[in-house]
Amino acid sequence: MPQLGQGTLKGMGITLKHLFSKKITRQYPEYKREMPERSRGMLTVDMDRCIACLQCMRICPDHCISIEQTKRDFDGSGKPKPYAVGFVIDDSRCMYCSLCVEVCPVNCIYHTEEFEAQAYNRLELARQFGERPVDPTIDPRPSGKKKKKPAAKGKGDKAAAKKKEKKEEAA
Amino acid sequence: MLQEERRHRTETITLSGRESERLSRPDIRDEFGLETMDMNMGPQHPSMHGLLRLILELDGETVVRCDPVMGYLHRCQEKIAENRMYPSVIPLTDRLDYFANMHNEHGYCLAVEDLMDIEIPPRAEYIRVLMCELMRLASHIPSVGFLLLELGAFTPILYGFRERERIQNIFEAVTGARMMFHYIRIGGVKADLPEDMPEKIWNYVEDLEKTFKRDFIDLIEGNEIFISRTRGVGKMSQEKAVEMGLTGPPLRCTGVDFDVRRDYPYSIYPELDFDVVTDEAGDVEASYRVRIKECYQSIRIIKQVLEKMPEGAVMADLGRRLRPPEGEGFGRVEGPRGEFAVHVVSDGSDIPYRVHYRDPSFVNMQLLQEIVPGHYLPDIMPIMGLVDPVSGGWDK
Repeated sequence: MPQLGQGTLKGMGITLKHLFSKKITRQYPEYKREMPERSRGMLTVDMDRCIACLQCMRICPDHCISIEQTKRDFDGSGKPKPYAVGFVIDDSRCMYCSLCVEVCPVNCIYHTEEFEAQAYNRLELARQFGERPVDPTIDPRPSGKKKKKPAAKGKGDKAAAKKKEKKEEAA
Repeated sequence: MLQEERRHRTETITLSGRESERLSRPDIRDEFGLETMDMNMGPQHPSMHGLLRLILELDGETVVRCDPVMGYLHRCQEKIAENRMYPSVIPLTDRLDYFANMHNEHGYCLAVEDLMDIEIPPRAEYIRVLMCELMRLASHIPSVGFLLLELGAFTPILYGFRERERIQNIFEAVTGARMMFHYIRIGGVKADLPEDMPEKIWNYVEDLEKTFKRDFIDLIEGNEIFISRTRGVGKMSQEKAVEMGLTGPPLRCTGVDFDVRRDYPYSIYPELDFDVVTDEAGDVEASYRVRIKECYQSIRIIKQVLEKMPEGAVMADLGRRLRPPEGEGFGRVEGPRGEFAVHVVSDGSDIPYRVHYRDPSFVNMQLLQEIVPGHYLPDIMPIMGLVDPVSGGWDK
């Protein structure tokens, strides 16, 4: 029959052992740990490489990327090409899922190691990258979704798909 | 007059199916002229798991009725999923049960793969199981801490979160995020493990095995306060547990031998050697023991997976746009809290027609209504530790 209080004393002994062991906590703002290579921090864009294909804008589930696209002959070839004059990433919406990074064909949008996104104002979190600022409050509707053609064959399925499209438009 | 009123009230409560010994004997209270008292616990309560409101009817300090009210964190996850393309739903599943993110992703991907008949590369399957078992450790260890925190002990949760932090560091190096991973994808996993990672995980698991007994068993198990607060509390029979549809540790602590990993095998679990842990007592202490023993089984599985892991690709070739055929897909996994299942219905477009999540937190929650009446008020918190629900899971 174990003595009453023995279990508690045993536990106290263990906590006492931990008292003298090496500390595992860090003093955060003074000491910052090294971020791993794959860590997904705040997004950034290399505007020199961007070809304004709008794929990142379309795939973003939270609509946090807005791009203002024009045609401009920026490389002197005589042919106007798509060019992003305005590019905004709204960090107050971004959920760091990295879908835009995976879809980018020229790898111009990528995650940095930066994760301290704090601001006094919500609009400050919308970071502008282009020549011209874009209004981040306007929800960029991905145009790719409206064009979808369901592979369905039956009539009912088409009706269901149409219904869904309507729902999306309403939303 | 008062007596009549009381009798009326007693009848309504018994009629709505809530049995209570105290209420069926109104003469006890007549002697003192006392009434039962309604009390709200939560939704903002320091010791409540997330946002849950319990409507309690108290007779002195004994609970007569306990009604959980959910919905304070409802985000329409199932409806949002109907408006997103199949791959874009995966980051949302991370936000369901935020202590079992990997299992949620795994369940959803299994459902879509079932719908599309996709063959997964073997290495991807091994990585999935490895991550899921690490996730189970990262959930069970703090759960034990939560249980003890609710009993008033502050130390175990610090040790629990220390271990969780180490596992999260592993997750961050592998997936890029600490909680919202977005790692398991339809057709495989996002990326292969970093080169030094198998060794790091092995070292971590060996480390954990050494310190686990000291920090989570010796510290807690023999403690008199722990025993007196948990032994016999929240006791339920096997029949009751099956009737309520419980899964996971709350079911296994009553002695029902059920585990989705073994009974409805998915992924590579049939190739692995592990035991399904059960306990006979069916009270809070038994659920603690089940969780602790399951941690050892997880460590065993992780070691086997690391030993057997084959080389090769980690992603099946699916093309750029996913467009599953018309039909239905179903995926079920054994999460840390119980069975997590996903049902996906497709109408042939690239957006799911319907996604349904069966979350163990939600189903296990009804235990409160059945088990809590008859217990003292302070016993509610240990029973919450037995259920261990997660706010994001029950509200979706």
